[in-house]
Amino acid sequence: MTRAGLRAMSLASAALLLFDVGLAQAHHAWTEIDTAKTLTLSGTVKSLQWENPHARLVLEIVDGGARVEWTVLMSGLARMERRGVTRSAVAVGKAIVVIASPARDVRVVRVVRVVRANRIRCDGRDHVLY
Amino acid sequence: MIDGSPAARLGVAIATSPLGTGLRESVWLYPTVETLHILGFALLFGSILVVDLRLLGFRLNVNLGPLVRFVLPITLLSLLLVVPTGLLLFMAHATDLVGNRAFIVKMVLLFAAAINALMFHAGPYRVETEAPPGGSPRGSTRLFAALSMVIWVSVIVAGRWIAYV
Repeated sequence: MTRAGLRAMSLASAALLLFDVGLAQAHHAWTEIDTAKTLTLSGTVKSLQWENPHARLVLEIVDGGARVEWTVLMSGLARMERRGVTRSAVAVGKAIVVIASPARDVRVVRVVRVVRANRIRCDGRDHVLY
Repeated sequence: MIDGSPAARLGVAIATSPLGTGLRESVWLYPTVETLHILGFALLFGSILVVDLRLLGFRLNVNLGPLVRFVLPITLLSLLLVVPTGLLLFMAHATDLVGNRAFIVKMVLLFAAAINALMFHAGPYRVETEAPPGGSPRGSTRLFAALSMVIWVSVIVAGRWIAYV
């Protein structure tokens, strides 16, 4: 390989590596969820996105007279079905209880009041997701 | 991505189309498309890597002509897997993807990889594949091969980061 070729190659590699490190500082999967904490949210499903790779719903709860909305992240559809959480069990208007872990940092997840559901109580049964 | 911009509206239109919605809401179709995308990419990356290493100067006793004639059809087959499944995965999440930095970077990298491969095939490819065994690859050939490896690894990195940025 020529000297110039080598130099161009090292520069290109260095540029791409630096770039990759920059991306690596973004958040990652469930690492943004603080699993050491749990909270119990009891409310009504306001909207549902029944989809892969993660289903999610908005839960409206009444907190000291005020209505508060929480975004609840769930698992993929295959796990949801295997663990017994059906689409109709968490349909809009259903009263459910979610035992969930909150996001470590709302700035990271870009949604205020976002949790990952660890367990869901719906249709009178308890379903473990995570 | 600015809400209401043409790209954002196009993204929403694609993602909310029956195909986009159906892909997301299907229990088995979505993971199947993902699996075929990964299978395609394994074939694509693996087949390209073997040729790139030979072009860099490894295993000079392996004749480049027969190697390329064996491996290039696998690369082309892998494109038949990876491109359609990639388009489907894009359709399922077009709303988010049109403004996703990692996705945009991945697309730019794919473009760069294609240009790099085309330039190699238009350039030193013929001389290298017809050269007698044992000779050292040219400097420009090694540069094309090295760039190819760096770009494709970066495609994997950028692709994986789509879900996390």
